[in-house]
Amino acid sequence: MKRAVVGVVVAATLALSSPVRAGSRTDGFPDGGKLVYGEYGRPATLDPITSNDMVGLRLTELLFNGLVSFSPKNEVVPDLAEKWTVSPDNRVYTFTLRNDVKWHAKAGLADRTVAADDVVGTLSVIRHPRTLTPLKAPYELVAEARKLDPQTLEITLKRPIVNALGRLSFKVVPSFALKNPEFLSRDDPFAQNPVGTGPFQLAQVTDEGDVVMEANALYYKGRPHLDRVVLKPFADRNVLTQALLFNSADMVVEVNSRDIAQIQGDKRFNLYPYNALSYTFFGHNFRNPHLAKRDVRQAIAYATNRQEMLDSFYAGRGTLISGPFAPGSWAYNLDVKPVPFNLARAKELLGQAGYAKLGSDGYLAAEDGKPLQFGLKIPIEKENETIKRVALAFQNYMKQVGIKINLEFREWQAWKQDVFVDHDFDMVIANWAFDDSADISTLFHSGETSAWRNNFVGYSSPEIDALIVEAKTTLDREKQRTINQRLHALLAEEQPYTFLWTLTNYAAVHKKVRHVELHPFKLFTFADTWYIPKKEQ
Amino acid sequence: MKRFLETASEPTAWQRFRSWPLRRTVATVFGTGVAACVVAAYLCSVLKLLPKDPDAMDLAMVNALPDAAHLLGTDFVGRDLLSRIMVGTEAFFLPGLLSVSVSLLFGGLFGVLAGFWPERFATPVGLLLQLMESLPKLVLILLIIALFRPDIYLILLVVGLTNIPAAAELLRARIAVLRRKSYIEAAIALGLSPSRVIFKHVLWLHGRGLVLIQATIGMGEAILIETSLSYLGFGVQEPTPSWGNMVALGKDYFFRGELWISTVPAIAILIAVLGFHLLGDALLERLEERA
Amino acid sequence: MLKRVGAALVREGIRTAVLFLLVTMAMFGLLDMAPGDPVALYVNVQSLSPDEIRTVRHELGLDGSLPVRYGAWLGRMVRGDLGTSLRTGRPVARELWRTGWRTLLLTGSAMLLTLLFAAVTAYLAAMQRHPVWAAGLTAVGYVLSGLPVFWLGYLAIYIATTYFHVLPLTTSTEAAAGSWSFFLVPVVVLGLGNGTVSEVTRHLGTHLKGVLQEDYIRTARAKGASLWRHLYKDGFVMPLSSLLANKIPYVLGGAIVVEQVFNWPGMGRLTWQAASDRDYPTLLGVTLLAALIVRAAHILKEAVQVAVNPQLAD
Repeated sequence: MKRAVVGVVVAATLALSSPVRAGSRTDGFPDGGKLVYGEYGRPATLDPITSNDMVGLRLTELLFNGLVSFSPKNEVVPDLAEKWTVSPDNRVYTFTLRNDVKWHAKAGLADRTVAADDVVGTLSVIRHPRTLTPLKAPYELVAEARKLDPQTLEITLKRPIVNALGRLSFKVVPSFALKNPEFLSRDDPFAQNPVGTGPFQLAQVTDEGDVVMEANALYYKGRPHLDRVVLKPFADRNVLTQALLFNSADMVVEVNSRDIAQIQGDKRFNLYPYNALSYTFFGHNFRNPHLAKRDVRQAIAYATNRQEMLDSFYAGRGTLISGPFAPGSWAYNLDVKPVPFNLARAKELLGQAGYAKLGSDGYLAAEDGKPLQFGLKIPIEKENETIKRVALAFQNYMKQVGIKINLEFREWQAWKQDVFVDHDFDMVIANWAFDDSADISTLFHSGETSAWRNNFVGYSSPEIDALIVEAKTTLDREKQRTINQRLHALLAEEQPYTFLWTLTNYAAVHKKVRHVELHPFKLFTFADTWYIPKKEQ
Repeated sequence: MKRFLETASEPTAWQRFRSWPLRRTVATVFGTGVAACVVAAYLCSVLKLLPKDPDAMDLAMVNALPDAAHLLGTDFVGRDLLSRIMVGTEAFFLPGLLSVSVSLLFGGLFGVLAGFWPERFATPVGLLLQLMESLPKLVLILLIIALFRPDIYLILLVVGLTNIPAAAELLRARIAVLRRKSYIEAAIALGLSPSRVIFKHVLWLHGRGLVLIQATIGMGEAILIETSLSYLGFGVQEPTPSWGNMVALGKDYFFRGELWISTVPAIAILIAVLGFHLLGDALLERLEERA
Repeated sequence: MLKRVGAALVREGIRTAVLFLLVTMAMFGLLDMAPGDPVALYVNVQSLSPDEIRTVRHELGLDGSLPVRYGAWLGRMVRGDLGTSLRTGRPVARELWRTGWRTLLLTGSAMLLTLLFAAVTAYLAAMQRHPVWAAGLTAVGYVLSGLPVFWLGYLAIYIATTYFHVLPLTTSTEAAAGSWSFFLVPVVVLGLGNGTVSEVTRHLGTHLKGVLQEDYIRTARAKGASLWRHLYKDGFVMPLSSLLANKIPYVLGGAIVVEQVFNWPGMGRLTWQAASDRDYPTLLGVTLLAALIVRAAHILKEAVQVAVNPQLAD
């Protein structure tokens, strides 16, 4: 009897002493330790809505959750929403939220659970005209969002799209905690001091710009193992690498390609490759009569030894691409091979196009007697020395077939103005980054050629237009894949871009951090499962 | 009689030169030599008389140390560093001259105004000059870069404007001293027009030294500012070489022990700036001594 | 004496106010002439319609005529509101405060080092007692003035990492022992590498030599008295305060590069970022603050010189 009483008392004491329901994890790994990760550049804001840079977006993975999240294989998995149903016309999605997710423990918010109101509130903040966010475009397709009951909400799309769930992965914010609950502007204190539901919560931003985040004991999946995660911004890429090597940082999100070999050889670190869904290309302005000729564009592709550039400048760490999709994308057509390096064929094509005459300085002569030349506009974006090498190498390759390339480096803002507004360029070198939808409609559809639209090359083809529209509106995933593959094959022929490559990025993490799994481009999605063994903390 | 007159006359230029302390002689010779080299390099670059094509890449020979083929080595894509150093003078030479001309022109104007008619002009000119002096150059330049395009001529024009107060002050002080010298007063009393006095006696005789000083110091400063801006990414862009952007390109290799690519242009900057500084300082010393 | 110093300060204060009006007007005029569109800072402009862009522009206060905008801006500024950064949304005044003192700390310490080096060199040269040392230090001073500070910074880090196996970055989250000594590295780099060492040495040297010829110094020397007491006012305080006021703009400029390399979170880094992003409120704030600092240095110089040499108070 006495023992039973003791047992009850002990149990009651234990129950009373643990203030939270979601406690430590049961996977047996120890809690504790600190992870300092270095990034090049600083986040402008810390909330997921106004954030417009990659550093900020990676940070929000640690602080926030969405309706759905992704598995390491990039499949949609439940996050804040436990389950969902889709209407027969594929336009209405009904989500049932978990009822055990708490907002970060800040004054006045303690113990408040995430409700349907919050999700609806987040969407209306995103769509409010006074909120300045890059999310406006992706969420323009939401017609309406409304709460059905405290834990259920319904989102209606303007038109059905494939993989809508993946699109509805926006991070949920407590709209009631904003200065103005209807919209979010950058001067709202929330933007620098956000509150979310994620595995970590913001503790402070030091004077030096370090963002210190602490473990959220209330996290619905259980307290993360790491005690603290600190973002340390750097203004210089080389110093960032040195910081890793000298223990000022435990992790670097994107290692300089030149330093990869050194870090690979360093036994203290693990390198994790990840492929962002992005690729690099040369864009050709169709408004230039020479570049409007397909033979010229194809010749450029044949004359550029892209494998050699990839090998010399990136140590081969990447994949050549043959078409407008990233090789990791489901839409990529593996049957279409990249254009091989063939100088003879390039010269043949140029001859076919009518440029056989060589001028006195070795260049082909254009019709008006001057040498055939193009300006290559390159954006200067905070130290990218490898792009410079690529441009110089390209200049060399073109010289060998008699085309003169004039390199024009432009400051980032000025470059955007030239390319997107004035269309004042011959060729550009640039990068596209995609989300999972593999939607290239804005890139090549003839209706997207006006100022600030993505079809800045001015490409126009009725056949491609029709296919693009079909791919965008169909609901059949398989059909979409087929259409995209056809698009890939056609655009590989057309070469509106000279498709270059997708680079493999590497993150370097100190070996003391275990169970590291990185999301292909969001990186920190699974950081709550990382841990550091006791003796290495 | 003749000998007596000879010893009583002013020493010749050569005699004055020989009487200088060793330090100043060395400084002047070195400085003049450097200036001559810079001018020579600039002319060679403009006339395209370079040892190798500064843009010719040779991916087989990257980051090479000096050898027979490349007297100063190669950079990260195999381009010859010596040729690029020579072309790098084009980045600052003309803009620097522009900067110096602007500061001399307006500085001279203000200096003469404030020096000869201090009652009327000292306060407004002084206020204007103080306005110009109170803005730190690099911050002002970055502001201009953000507002307009990063153009090296515009930038050094602004630098020239910010140097006006210094030039004006130099001239004004000189004039103030000279005015008290009796022969100016005598000249004016004798009926010579003030403007003639200004131009012939003041500016021509004494101004030459000041021009040289402003030119050398201004050039040294132009080099430092142009290279700093090109280093930061705001000035001259690739593939056009500038000593500043050459240092910036080389810094990615620095921590791996390949110091050469960054150091060659840094030393070029050092020698050029050193030369101009030494020359300017020696001239200033001489000027102050004669005052 | 206080009355004289006070009068000097009042006079300088009025001048400063007038100057500031002129400076701000000039800056605003410049702003108006500039091309480029800061709207792109906030959002992917590609995804907005012209109407939405207009809304954004109105939101940011970028429409309206020039005099109106200037008046509004000036009014806000006088009340301490310098607007909010286009990049981070934080109030510019607070950002300047947060970063300004760090840059002042770095710049001030660097200048002290410059002046120390120059003073020692000039003193030795003027006293002509250790000619070899004097010549050597002068030569070193000249070389240092020609070395670009951006290269020197990297060299310092290289030496630290290769030969001392330590990375000289000051951090607050580390709080490692000896991390305060790391602060010395950027100070040394900026102090010796800012390009003014030789000029300062020369000015000081000439001035000292001139003072040494003065009768009262010669008398003191003949009497065998300690020179320092007589020398310091005219020989050091006067020129040093002038030099300090004059050279601050250069050192502030050098700080921009040094802060980048050493990750020092000061105004220099803020300026560079703001220039790249076309963050006008921040840029204007920085220019004003920099002008303020330079002006303050001048006023301080005036006060010191009037206090030391009352004959100047006219």
